Amino acid sequence: MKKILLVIKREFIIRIKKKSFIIMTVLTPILFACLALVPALISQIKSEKEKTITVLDESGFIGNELKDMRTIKFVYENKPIDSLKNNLLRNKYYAVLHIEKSEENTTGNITMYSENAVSLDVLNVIKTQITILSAQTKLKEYDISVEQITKILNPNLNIKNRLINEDGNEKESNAAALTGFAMICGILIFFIILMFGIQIMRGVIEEKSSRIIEIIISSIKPMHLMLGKIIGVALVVLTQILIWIVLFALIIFVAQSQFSDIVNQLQNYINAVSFTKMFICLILYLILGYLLYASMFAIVGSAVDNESDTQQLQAIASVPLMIGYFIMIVVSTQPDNPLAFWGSMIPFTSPMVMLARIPFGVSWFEIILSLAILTATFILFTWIAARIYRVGILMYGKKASIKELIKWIKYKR
Amino acid sequence: MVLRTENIVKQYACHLALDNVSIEVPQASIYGLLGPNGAGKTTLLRIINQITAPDSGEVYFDGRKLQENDVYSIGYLPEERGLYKKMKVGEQAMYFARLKGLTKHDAEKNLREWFQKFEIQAWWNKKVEELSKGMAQKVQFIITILHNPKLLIFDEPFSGFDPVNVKLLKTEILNLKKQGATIIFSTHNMASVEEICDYITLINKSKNVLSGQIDEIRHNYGDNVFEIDYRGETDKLKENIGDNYLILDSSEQKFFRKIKIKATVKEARNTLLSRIIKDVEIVNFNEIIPSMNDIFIKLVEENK
Repeated sequence: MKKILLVIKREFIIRIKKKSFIIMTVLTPILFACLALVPALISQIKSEKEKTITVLDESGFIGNELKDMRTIKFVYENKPIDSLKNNLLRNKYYAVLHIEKSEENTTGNITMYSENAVSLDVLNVIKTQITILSAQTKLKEYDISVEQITKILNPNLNIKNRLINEDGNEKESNAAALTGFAMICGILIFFIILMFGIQIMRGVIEEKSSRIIEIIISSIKPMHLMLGKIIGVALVVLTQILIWIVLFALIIFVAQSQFSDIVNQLQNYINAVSFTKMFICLILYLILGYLLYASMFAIVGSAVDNESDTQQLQAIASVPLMIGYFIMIVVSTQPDNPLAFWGSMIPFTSPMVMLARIPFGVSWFEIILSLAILTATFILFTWIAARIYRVGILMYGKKASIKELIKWIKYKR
Repeated sequence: MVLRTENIVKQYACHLALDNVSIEVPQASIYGLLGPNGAGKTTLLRIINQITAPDSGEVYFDGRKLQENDVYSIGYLPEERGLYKKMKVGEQAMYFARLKGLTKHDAEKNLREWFQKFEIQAWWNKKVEELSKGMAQKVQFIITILHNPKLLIFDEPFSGFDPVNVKLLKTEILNLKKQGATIIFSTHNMASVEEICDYITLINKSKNVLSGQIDEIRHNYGDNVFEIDYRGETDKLKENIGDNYLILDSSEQKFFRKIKIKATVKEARNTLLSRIIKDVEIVNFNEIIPSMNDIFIKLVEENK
């Protein structure tokens, strides 16, 4: 036991100290923060100067009712268009908006004159305003108010989905938030398992290819070495997630105003999903799923001499993981698909699929059953991995086939 | 006996690696394990280190069956050896020392002593990838012996070591023996076997073909060939030698003559001497004892 602790400590410290770990841990949240912050910052920078657009309305629909925008002010002139154009070139205005009169009872051609291209945003806003104003003018002729017509056309429909459980309690469901949250959890599990599974594989190969392994296993049992490695890396995963949670919380706290959208959405998730259930399951499935795949990656590592040989064998571990990922994507939009049930019971896919299902309501019984299957499989695989591992780490020079790996399980020692 | 193996059998998928191998390693001796490549030496050493288990047979350590905890009393330098490249030397040595059961304090104390002895203190904080091969070998050696094991096992210790380190290693091995440690090592290097081994076992084709004290073995494998340097008449000498000896070679040197003879019937050396001493002056009388190298080659060839 003391030796396992020594191995865990080494595996943990060596990884925590790595530059790549520090960079990944610190940079990931910052990158996310930037992705969320940059648009907000850019829109702030834009507001540096107020611009004036001169309006020449010959149609009479607009009058002087265009509303000023954040950075754009409208002024109204009644001069001939040519003189306005001249003034524009003398830098008096940012742009000239010319609304021509038409024969029919509508606005005629609308032209925007400017030295530099006017942004699409501004054009769109102006277009909407003109549409509304011209509609208003026309509606007045029929004696209908704008409020009336908007009520008819846009009756503020909103279908609420209320979930009723067996106790008769009702709860709001929010399909979009559910799907989003489920996906995020599943993807998180997928990437963490893949990333750290490969780290385990690399660690095993390193010990093998640098020929340290025989020195180590003259002092510690291969099984203990493998367990120490898996647990050590698991602690690294947990540390990284913990740091991420803290950093995210910090960033969101510091820049609360910029993240009001995200905070709101998070609140939506938390309200919509049974948050404790989700969180407990996330942690349990993450840990158990990781342990299962870690032992599979350890098998791959022990069966080869160097990393370039892993391609083929790595499929043993990575293909089931990928399948789980794809089932999860299907399930997050079709929670009643039969794939959902089976995917959340089969241990190789359940860590991802079950998480995608939980927001749509899964009974505790199913969750516990799935966790039990996962635990049993992980124990079985750790045992198998340990048996293959102790043979594999001493085999040099040949790439083992799956058939040989199975033979190794039966070796005595 | 520090270590005794009894009828060890180890079968791998397609070949028998060890076939009823028994060895006895006396306390405070240096025990050479010889044999051609693939004879089963490394398998035997791995069994003693509990890295693999024998199919049948038993290993006794200190008079009782080998136990799991005995790894703390054994130091093993495998043939395939390396270090974590990205880890610092000191850190790494501490890790291995603690895996061998030393406390943090003892590990550090012992390490500092050895680093001083080998004059490599400056390497403590360097990464292994910055070390030369020779330096890494020194570190590996220190790691092997750091926990003062009763039994030291070196698998091909001299392969890959440069001559300076080989010398250092030999000196340290002899020192360890003086301090009471028992050393087993497997090697191809016959010169070093004659130089430092007390006992040997020759393993060929998975079998123990020869075991015993090295001087005894060499004498037993003597072919009763004698080399005699003398002054006097060759014919008289030949006459006195008698019919029981074959003349292998006869030559004239600058100051004496030389003859090489082989006994066909066993006879005490003094009897022969007393006969030939009558008519010639004996300058030198020498029984030719085969080197370990000759014995090794002879036995391996015979067993082909």
